[in-house]
Amino acid sequence: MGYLSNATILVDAILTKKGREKLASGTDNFSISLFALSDDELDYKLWNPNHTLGATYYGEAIEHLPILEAIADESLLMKYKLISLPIQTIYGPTVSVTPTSFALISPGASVTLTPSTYPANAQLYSATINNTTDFTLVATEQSTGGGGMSTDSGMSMAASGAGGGATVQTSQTAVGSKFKVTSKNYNNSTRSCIVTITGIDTGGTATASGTAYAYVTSGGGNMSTN
Amino acid sequence: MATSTSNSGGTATAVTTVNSQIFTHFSDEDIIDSGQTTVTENVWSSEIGGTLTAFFTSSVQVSSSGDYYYDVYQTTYSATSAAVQFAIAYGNAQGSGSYEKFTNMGVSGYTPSKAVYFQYANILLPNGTSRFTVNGNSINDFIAINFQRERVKEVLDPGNWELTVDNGAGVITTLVDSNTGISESSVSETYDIVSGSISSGIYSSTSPVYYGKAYPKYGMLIFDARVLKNSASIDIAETEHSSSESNNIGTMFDAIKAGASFTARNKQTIASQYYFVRVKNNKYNYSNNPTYWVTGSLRFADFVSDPVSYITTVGLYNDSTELLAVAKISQPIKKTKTTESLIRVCLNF
Repeated sequence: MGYLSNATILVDAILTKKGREKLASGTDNFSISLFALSDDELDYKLWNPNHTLGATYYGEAIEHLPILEAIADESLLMKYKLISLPIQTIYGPTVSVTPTSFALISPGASVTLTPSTYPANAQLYSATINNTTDFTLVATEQSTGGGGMSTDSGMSMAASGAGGGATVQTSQTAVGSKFKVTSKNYNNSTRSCIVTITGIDTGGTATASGTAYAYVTSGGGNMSTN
Repeated sequence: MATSTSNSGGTATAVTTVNSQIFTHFSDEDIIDSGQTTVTENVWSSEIGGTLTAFFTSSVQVSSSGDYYYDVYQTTYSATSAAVQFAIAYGNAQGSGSYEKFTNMGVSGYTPSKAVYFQYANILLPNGTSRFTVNGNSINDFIAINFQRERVKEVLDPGNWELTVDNGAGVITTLVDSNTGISESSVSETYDIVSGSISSGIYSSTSPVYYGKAYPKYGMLIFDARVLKNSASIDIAETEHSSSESNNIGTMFDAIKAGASFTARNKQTIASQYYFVRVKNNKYNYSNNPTYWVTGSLRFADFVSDPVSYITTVGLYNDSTELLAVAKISQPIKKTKTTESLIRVCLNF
């Protein structure tokens, strides 16, 4: 008779850039309250339901995969989150966003991004914009009151872009059901951004890409092309 | 949200709304503050073992600020991996041992060595005290070794450093601090520097030769220049030169280089927090991984009744779903509706 294993898996965590930023601004701003799980580097196509040794071996190729170390850039982590769904689920969550691309032709011009989940249902989304130097992102509707939300009902916008630094593009995250992206491009070059929208309850993602066109200089002054 | 089927008599029937979940709240008992842990490690650049055996200076730095200090590197300073390990300075309360750098002041004694002496005195000595003392004797001049702050981290680990100096004429002296061989949890402001070794302890422990003072919280070692001269035969000159440098810093550097052995460790206190990630049997059995689905449907029919997922990463978030910390697991953990997982995540900061 063998011994039962009572082992607890112990792992060390590293702070992300966002975590360091929060910690640097004071321990009161560093408050971990939620966890999520992911399997970013796995390929489920390696699951082999035809393995001749039986069901125990179906996942053999996946289970022996050595996992890579964590990196500190939070925007590159937790891409594919595990999700809790009822047993007997067949169809996965699909998040889409309208529009999927947009062009802003003058400073202050804006667009509203409207995400949705198939099948249609109200829920919260997390939107992250990768360029806060030239764009701002705000949630225009904070909550839809839809059912099925399993996280904080009190989620609020979480803006953390640096705002300064002409050459550093920092990310900014907002939580809501609709989002407004505004151009603040006063530069003489075309700038772009990508907004990644993730369903808070589903983990499904969709992206929208945007461009802010150059503010054309004419006769020594700035003139909008609008 | 996702479309699911209800299990009715073994027949799958489509329904339109179900609850789904990505994030789980920690409860109060899931987060444990374990207090503080003390960690010690080698102070030198990571490619160096516990002992620094090669010492280099930078001609650029020496020519610009060598009157005051020499930066010491672990390799040729022009090498890409070169990094300052520590600095050597010479201080003299009268201003001797270095030349009159500021001749336009018209007052003698305002030399780099004097500036250095009182720079260190102001930092290390109590208010109102202007002279260093070793074993009750006032120090007129000293050699200072000053570790890079990032190497010392919180404190230089007392009792865990050892410096060998060689005067180049056969006199080799090994220096440690008076905490060598003694275990104590707290770190004092100062320790005496004596001859000895980490492995054998203090030489002549009942009547040691006192070479100076160690200031572990500052990452500084102060050596009485006269004791270095008299007991270690290192020729520290006090002569005041009007136009040339005594090069006491260079003399000490040569002695350290010839000794070819400098061991030191730092010490820091790390706060640890443990997060108990409890993954219940009916949670996280599906994945958003694109390989999990084929055109929106489960890739494998078996997953409809017996879904399987694998955990490779734990993400720790705040209420705004900002990812603050992440932990990777060495091998994927299989998750099914009949299994639960408990992952203890340790976060040090």
